[in-house]
Amino acid sequence: MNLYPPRLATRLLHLFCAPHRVDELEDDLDELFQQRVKQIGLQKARWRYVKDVVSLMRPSLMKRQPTNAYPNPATTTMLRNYLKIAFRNLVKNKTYSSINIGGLALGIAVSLLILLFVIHERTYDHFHANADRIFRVYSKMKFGEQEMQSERVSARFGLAVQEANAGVLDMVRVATTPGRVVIKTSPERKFFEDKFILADPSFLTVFSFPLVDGSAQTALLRPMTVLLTERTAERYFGHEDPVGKTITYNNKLRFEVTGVLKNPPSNSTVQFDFVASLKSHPAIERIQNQFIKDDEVALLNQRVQGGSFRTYFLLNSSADTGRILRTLPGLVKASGGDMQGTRYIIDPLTSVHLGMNFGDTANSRYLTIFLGIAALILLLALINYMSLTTARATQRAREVGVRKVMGAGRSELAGQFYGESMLITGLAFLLALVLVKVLRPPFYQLLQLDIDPSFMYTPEFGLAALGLLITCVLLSGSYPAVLLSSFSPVNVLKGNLTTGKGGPAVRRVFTVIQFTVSIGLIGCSMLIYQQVQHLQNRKLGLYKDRVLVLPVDASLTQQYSILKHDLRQIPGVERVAAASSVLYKEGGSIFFTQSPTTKKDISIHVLSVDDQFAETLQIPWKSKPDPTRLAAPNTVVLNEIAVRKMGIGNQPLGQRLSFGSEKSEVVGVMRNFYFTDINDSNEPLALFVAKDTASAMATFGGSLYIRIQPSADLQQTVGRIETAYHQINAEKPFEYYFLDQTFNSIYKSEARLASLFSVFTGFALFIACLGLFGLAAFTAEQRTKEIGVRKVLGASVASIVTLLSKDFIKLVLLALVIASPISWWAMNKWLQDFAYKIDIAWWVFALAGGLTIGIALLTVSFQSIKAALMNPVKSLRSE
Amino acid sequence: MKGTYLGEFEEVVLLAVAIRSGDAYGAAVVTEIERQMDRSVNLGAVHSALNRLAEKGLVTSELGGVTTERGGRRKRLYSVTAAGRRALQDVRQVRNQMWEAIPNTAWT
Repeated sequence: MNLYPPRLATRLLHLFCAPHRVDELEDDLDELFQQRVKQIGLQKARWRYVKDVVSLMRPSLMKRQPTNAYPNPATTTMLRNYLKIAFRNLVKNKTYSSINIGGLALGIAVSLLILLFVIHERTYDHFHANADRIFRVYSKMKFGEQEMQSERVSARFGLAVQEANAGVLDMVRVATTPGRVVIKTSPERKFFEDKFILADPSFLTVFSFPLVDGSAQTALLRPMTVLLTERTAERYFGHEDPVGKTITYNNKLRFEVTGVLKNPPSNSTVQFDFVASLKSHPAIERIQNQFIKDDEVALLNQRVQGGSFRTYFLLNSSADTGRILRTLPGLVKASGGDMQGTRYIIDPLTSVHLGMNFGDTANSRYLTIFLGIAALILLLALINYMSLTTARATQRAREVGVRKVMGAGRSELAGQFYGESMLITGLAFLLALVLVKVLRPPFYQLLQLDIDPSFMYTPEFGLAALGLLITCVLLSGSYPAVLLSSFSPVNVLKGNLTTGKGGPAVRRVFTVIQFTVSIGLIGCSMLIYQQVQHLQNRKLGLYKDRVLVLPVDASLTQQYSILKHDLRQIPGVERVAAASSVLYKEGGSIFFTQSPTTKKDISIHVLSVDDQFAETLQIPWKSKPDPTRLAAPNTVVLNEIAVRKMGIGNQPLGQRLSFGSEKSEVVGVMRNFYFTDINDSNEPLALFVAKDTASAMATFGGSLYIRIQPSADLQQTVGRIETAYHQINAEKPFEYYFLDQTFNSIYKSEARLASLFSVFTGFALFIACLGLFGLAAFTAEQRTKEIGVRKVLGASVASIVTLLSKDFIKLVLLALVIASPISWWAMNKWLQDFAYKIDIAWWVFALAGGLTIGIALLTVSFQSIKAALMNPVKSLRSE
Repeated sequence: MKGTYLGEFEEVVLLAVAIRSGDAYGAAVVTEIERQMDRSVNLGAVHSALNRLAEKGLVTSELGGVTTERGGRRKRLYSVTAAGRRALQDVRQVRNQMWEAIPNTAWT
């Protein structure tokens, strides 16, 4: 007879019941079962058994409750022990711990900052909800041998494309104002603005620029309405509600504020402070040119061609671009235009920022360099950590031995040391986050970056930071874990193990790597600095040191001569001249003209100046024009390059060139002087010279060039100029540049690279020295006895210092040998891009090496002198 | 009898534990209840009631010694605590009080 309870039910019981109760319950069930078999028969007893098992399935009995009666010692106890040991070690060796954590934190912080910047650059325009479907159009035009790029097309362009292609869901045209404008709400609230744009109503739906106030349906519909950003609204209206109020544009037009937009994120290519309705564009055009006819207004231009509107399309899918480009020639033709020599390109908005490689920070090549530096610094910090940890291994060797004897396997020990690294890296990471918060403002100021503070909290950056943390943890723990867990317990406990086999050799390699990086960075930063200096100090062919540039505008037409006269009366002002633009800051206009001899089209920069210009900026003449002809109508002055490019070198004077509709006679040739902000080399230039007294310069918005005497006090003179300016009641705020500063700002990106390099070189060197300091301290400590014995036997302090420093210096020298060719190669590559460049001198590397050795010696000697001065009685007495 | 409320089944279980004092483990309690009340009881219900009683502090449990009887495994033996005894007495007193409050005419 089968007297066993149903097995399935028993198994079920084991499955769900709390382990510590299961035996007891099974026993109860068993006993009841046996009784019931006797009382009610097997079948019924089995049935009751099942019922009982089911009735036992209740939470109170399932709850796994490892009571103290049954402790589970394996995992938590050992973990607690590991943590305790880790903390004790941290606290016991305060110097090492702080060097370790501090160095690591610094490295992580710097990498995070760079990462923040790089991610910011890489996520440009990704915030739009439709980011992957927004495209912009630009054109490439061929003029003679030159190709020009323009991202502006006519007003009709976007409309025509939208009508002809079903794949175009929506379209936005964005126009900018010509130059800066003055916006006023009250006499005190009057500012220069350069981010005033005009846009179609679809601006609010295609892009993701949310409105804080106002309605998205009606905003931007009517002419002469404008949206402000939050920051602008506060600037002009304080805490008042700006909706319904008006702003004055250049003292002529009035715009009604219909809403407030959130500030555009810093990683947006479309930047603005004001967004006016596109229908206001003709009004703005009319300020520029009052006589413009209705059919000449840009907004009503019916041709499909280049123009003044940046145009963005919202497409169904990116596949539509090809179709649009195929329909374009037909559209252009139908509108009566001509596509000859022009190529249109449609590319995604997200590729725009890094695509324009002539910008200053938007330089994808520099982004790679920055990332490289970040990686190097992080590597230095990690190496530091590893070498310090393994150097300390002897201190832990006995612990490892005992643990092994007690039965710890290698994997458990490796786990323990990995865990410790994780703990320390985690602490360092927390500290790094604090450092990032503190260092962010000065860092961005140094780099002249504008990154929203909130960017730190975006998921992209969070993920990157997490990735960095994981990388750090994985790398920092790896080598110590392998090394420390490899000790043989017999050797360790016998006491004849000093350091792990291979340990010192690996540490030497580490030190060499650290100093290779440091020396390389020092070399590079010195060379970059030299190159930037070289670029900024080169001969420009004009005097730029004490020239103040004062932009003027049409509002000054009446008082122009008075202002010039007044300025000349100021003591300290040497000369005053005028030109149509601020050199090195505003790109002037470019004309195409045909060479009279070769008949080739030449692109030539055009600048209008007055007859004082050459004298004021001390630009020498090659053939000085007759004073009577200089400012005569229909005359032009060329520079040497222009003469050469046109092939009229033999007889430049008297040649007639056409600029636009007018023909001008060449009356003089100037020596080359450097004037553009784009290129490294000189370009052809035509100067239209006007009389000093002509007020045309003010009508078209030019700039006054005021040369200040070398002996005059700069600040005082600028103050007097300002007073003179205010006396004529100019509408425009007083604003000025110094010519040398605007020139230097051309090399903003190089100068930025230079300062970045020097700062990070500093960090790298500091981290490397921290490591060296730790290692030196450690060696000195290890050799305490040896030093004691040597001193007793008569060694001098100097000889002991040499003994201790020698090894390190050898490593640094080796690093110098490795670093020099590498950085020479890298810098040579960088310099290839400059037309005007320095030669790399050998002494740069010698200096870098010398500097590093000096710093390394200082670091090491601090420890070695301390060790050498120690009283041998003390070091030998113990044990 | 404000303190802990004693459910009807809890009361029965507690009484059974008291009856089998010294030998009150799960199965014994079940057997006891079945014998006394002539109704079948689920083991799960008993254990859950014992748990609740233990939480209320009306019974305590300890692991009994090893006996050959159960294959060398140990039983969890329950015993009524002082609080448990008081709770039982309270219930009984209330019942008695109420019995006595029944007027004589009620049954006629």
